[in-house]
This record gives sequence, C-alpha cells and structure tokens, in this order.
Amino acid sequence: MTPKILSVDDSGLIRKAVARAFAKFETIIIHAENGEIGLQQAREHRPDLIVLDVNMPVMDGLEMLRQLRADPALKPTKVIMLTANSNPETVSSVARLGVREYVIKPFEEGDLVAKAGRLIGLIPKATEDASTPSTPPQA
Amino acid sequence: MTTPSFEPIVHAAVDQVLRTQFRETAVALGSTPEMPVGPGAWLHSSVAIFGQLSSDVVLSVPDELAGHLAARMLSLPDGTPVDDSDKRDLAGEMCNMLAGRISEAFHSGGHFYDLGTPTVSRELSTGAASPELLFSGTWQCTGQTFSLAIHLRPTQA
Repeated sequence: MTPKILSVDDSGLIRKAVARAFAKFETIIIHAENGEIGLQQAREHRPDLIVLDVNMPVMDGLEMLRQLRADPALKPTKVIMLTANSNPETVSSVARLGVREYVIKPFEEGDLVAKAGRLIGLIPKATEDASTPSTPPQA
Repeated sequence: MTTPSFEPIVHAAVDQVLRTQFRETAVALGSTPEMPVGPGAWLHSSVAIFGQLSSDVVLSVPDELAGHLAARMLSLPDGTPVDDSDKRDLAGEMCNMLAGRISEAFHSGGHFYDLGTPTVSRELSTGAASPELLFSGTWQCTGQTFSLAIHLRPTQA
C-alpha cells in the first residue's frame, strides 16, 4: 500500500518542498496549513507519517501532537518535526510525546527522506528505462 | 545578561541558511545602505524571538531575489518564475530560519528562547516608536542586496 505523508506547515513553500523531497518515492502527499486542519486531515486520511512544523497560527505543532497522542486511533502515527525552533524546552516536550526525529530548518532534503525512510520505508518510483526499445509505430 | 556579540552569530546564520537550503552564498557588504521604506518591489518579513533578550529579526529581500531563492528551494531551474505567494513564503521562511539559528546561538549562553510566527509585508513598518537597533547588516547574493536587522522588542507593560 502506498504510504501517505501529511505535511503540516503554515508555509506553502515548505509544503511544496516536502512534497518535492518525496517525489521520487511512491507516496501520497496530503497538506495542511495549521495543526487544526492537520488533525482533521489525519482523522480523514490516517497518514503513515506526519511532517510537522512547530510554530504555526491557529494551532501549533505541539498542541496538534498532544491531541494526536490523545486519540487512540492516531496515537501510533509516526511523526517527524520539521522546524526552525530548536528551543531545548520544545525539543524535550516533543520527545516526551514520543517523537525522536527532529529536523531543523534549514534542512537537507536527503536528511528528511532518510529519517522518513527509517520510520515508514520508502519505495522508489519505477523509472522508464531509456534503453528499453519502444513499441514501433503502427504502419 | 550580557548582550551577545551579534555580528558573528548573524553572519554564521546567513551563511548556513543560504548554503543548506538554497545552495547559495552571500557576501557581507561593508556599508549599510538605507533600508527601503514604503511599498515597492521588496518583501519585509519579521519573526519575534522571545526570551531574556526578546527581539524582532527583520529581513528585507528584493522581489527578484525572493523568486530566485524560492525556485532554488523547490529545485526548479534558475529563472523559473514563481508566484507571489511563494515569494512571500520565501521571505517569511528565510527570516524564520535565520531567527531560529540566531536564537539557537543564544541557547548556548544558557538561556532558552522561543520563536513567533513570521509576518510578511511589502511595506517596511517604521513603527510609532523607534526600537533599539541591536544589529543591522547587508549582504549581496547573486548580485542583489538584502538586509537583516535585529531590534530589541519593547517590554510589555
């Protein structure tokens, strides 16, 4: 089954960058612009992985994570924090909620993909082999 | 608390953010030109740092450079046009990353700092009161100038 990844970030550019990072892999990417919409999307789509920002308007990433962990159906969902916020208190709070993967912005695309691969496994998309002879056009 | 030396902290932050996220470099300029005021082809973003030395990090980036860096972030070929919302997001996110790296340097002094969410505008607000300027610097990246300033955040009454 194709893994679903939910990207929750108030920056559309970051959500696009996350989608781009996983473009070479068999994934379904879902987007949310804050924690409140992120929870709705998580309940509707049951993602395998959530890539979650911390500082967001409406509902921040820490609150979304608390509510996620309080919901028995969503509690086991794997989470990677992707944030510019490296405040040690925030890192500790996130760790207490069972998240060990913390990617600090600015980030290397490969670092995010490697962490995601360890958590959910990623299968590269099949690429068309240029050496494969194409079907000759019908006369 | 002792006020940290901002110059090495900010220069390291600019270097790290540009290299890691955008595969770009910037050269620090010796003189600081006037910050643009009023509407124009610039984007101004601000992120609050909360803590013992609460401050606002303000980034001013020309529209064209914002477009270039946004395209870089999405691994699009140089010169690919990007829409205005991506340019605004670029300004906000770049300021967020810089504020994050600057506040992380403050942590090493044993103090915890938190970040606000970015605000972005095409008009640089001068504000009713002039906050204390802690740092101001200007860089050039791909031939275009951008500026970063850190203002002491007024204490809430």
